Amino acid sequence: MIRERIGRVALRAYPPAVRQARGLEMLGMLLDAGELSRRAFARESGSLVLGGLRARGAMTARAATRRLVADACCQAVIIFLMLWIISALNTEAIGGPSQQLVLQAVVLAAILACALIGYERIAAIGGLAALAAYGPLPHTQLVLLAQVLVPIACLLVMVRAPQRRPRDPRQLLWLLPVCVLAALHVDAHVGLPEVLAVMSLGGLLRLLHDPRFAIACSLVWITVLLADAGRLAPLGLREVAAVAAGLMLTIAAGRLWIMRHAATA
Amino acid sequence: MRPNTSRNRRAAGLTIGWLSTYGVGMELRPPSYFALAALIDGPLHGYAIARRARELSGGRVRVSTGTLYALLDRALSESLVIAGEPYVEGGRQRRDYTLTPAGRALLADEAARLAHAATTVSSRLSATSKAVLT
Repeated sequence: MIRERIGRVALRAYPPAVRQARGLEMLGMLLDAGELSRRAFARESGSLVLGGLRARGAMTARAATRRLVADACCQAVIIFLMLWIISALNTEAIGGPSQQLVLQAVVLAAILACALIGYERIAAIGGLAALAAYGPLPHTQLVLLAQVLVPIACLLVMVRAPQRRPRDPRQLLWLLPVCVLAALHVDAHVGLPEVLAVMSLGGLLRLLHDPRFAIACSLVWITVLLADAGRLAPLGLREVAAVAAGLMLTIAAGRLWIMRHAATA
Repeated sequence: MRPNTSRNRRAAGLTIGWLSTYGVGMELRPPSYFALAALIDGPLHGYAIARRARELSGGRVRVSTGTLYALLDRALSESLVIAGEPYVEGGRQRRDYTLTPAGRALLADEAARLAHAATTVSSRLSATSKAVLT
């Protein structure tokens, strides 16, 4: 029973379509092949996970570059929304109770929930409206406007080309890490760049089979760079942002090239 | 009827993207070669293919679950094998895979290529060993 459960967890490495078509058959073979010893079972489970990651990688490698970039923009919108919510909650915590900031966080959380479930067009339109309502005003400094250029571009891409994925309320579970990061940000004074760095690590891990999240993180780093570039702050963050954005984009592009090469070799 | 050589299959539009190419001939990697060879005698399910491939290779090739299903996916997309309907045996879901004529022809090509390579190297070895001895 335990082995079957482990096998089912290992099978989750495969794309849902493959799991549905062959999952039980693969599970049967895993249990057969792993009957000899614990070591054999561990080896077979590992091979199943690697096989699943390869299958996902092959799917990504077959996707058109435009689709991958559009997906990365949509994922960047989700990161922007997460960071914006955390920032609003933090401002509220530091500046004292503010109904406006709480309302802003609630509105943004609702937009984020729509984006996570898969109602991406609605979320994108909501995001643009939120930017118009809560973002920098058009007559403010250019520096402040520069930081919304990338989010606006990503939101427009999300309106035009939302990700092709089924609507799934279970994706709302991604709100949990937002809550944890928000709590860390407010209580432990962890800065937004650190939060983004944690997300970027996740993006690098996902590079095993999918470069989209890494590209999304690099878009957010570019925004951090643009936001910090015009300020008279001491050097540091903008260099980190520039290096992170450049490195992540390069690594993601390199990984995609390798995946495509492996798929056609 | 044209012989079913690898060149003719490519001309007919059957791409074999999962094989590394060596000049005009093709090379099947050992796991793929023995997994396909396991199906020569008749249809087998996944675990039986892995066991048979190990037997045929004298224990040298071990096809794991992940590798076998990646290989079967590609073989199915290249019409080298066909999959039967799923059934339950001993409480486990199984599906039998059958080698197609295209798969059989590919195996025949590969076996001939390996035999030719083995003969060439063996004859060169015996010729040079005689020269070394004399």
